Amino acid sequence: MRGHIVKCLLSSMTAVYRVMLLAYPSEFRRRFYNDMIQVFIDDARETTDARGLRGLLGMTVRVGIDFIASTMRERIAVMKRATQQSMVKWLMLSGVLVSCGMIFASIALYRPYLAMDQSMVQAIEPVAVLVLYGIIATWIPMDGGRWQRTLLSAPLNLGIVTGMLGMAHIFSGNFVDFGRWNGTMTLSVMAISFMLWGVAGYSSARGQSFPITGVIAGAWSGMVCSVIVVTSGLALELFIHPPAENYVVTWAEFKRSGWSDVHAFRIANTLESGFEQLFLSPIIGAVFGGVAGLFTRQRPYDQSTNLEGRRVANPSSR
Amino acid sequence: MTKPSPQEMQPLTPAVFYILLALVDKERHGYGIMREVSLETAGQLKLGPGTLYGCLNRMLTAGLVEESGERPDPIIDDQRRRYYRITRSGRRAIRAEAVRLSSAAAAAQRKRLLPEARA
Repeated sequence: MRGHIVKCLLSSMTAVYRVMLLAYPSEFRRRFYNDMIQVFIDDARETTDARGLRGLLGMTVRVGIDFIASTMRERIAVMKRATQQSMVKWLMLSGVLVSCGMIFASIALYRPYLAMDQSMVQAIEPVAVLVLYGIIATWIPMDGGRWQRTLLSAPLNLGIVTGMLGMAHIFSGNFVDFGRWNGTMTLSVMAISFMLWGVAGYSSARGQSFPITGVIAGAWSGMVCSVIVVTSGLALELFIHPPAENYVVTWAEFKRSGWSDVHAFRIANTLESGFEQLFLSPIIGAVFGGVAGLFTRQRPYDQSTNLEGRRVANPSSR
Repeated sequence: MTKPSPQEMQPLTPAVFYILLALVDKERHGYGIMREVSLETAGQLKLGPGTLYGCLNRMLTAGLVEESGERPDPIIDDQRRRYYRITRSGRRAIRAEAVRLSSAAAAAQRKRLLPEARA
């Protein structure tokens, strides 16, 4: 009789546990559902055999606490991954789409541009690179693995910082005349950006045995930066505050170009600057990131998140 | 994708440390690991199924353990169960952690925080 009651109790508890497992993220559940049920049944059987119903009650409490803690941990891990993933993709793809939109709009609003020599090439070049950026941003693996950690930490943050710096430089250059300090300002912004892309490469390559990590991190930092700079630069120079036409006609580039349409030249010049920024930044970032990565000499870095997904103090990093 | 170095794994949490310890001598299935951990810690650490498989999931991703394709003795084997075994990376990680814990214990010993060993 007692054996029958225990059997019924165990099968009811297992049925409840099966339902409880629905609280775990689907990917986790797909992978471990059957194993977890099996472990639960084994544990319940052995506990009942060894310590009777009182032991089973204790086990139920223990499994209940474990269930609450582990579902929260797995859910938070999934949410964190999804947030990071959507943030990065949103940042890159929205920058790419807005930039492409501005290029098309500027040409649509001034059709004579298309009549100028080589004008189509000037427009297609930045769009082609932007589309490539969009593909790369979509392709980046966001599986919580090594590459995600590499690209989402320092390189992304430093890309945003250098992008903001570049944006501030473009805006200040358009509204404030620094006179003879203009060149120094530009060189300083470039030097700081290159150095920070190197830092991105260094911090990512630290403690890793794969030397190309620094190269990829530096390039990624350069890409994030150039999307911010190009998007803000196109908005400023094509729509918000384009350079005055009587000023553009004094430019040596305009005189050399052979173009007669000042407005069209202004658009082409902005597109060319954007293309150069988009094309060169990842290359420079890769070089600086790669060189900085070589200086790491395989030093271990502070892994502040442990395998259970919690932040821990790392005594070895102090 | 490269495997994390043992230093990157440090410090291991007690759960991860004892799971690796349970797999050092032989491959085990989930409940086998749970029982071994409880035995090794004299019942101080009892892993629930959620914590056990959460840890195993992250350890599989980090390359510390892997699923075993081979099955043990068919008489004692249950085909429904998945067996796990420690990888070379996992061995390096647990060895590094053991060294770290041992040097921490030695430091505590020097400060007379641990009871004197009896002859």
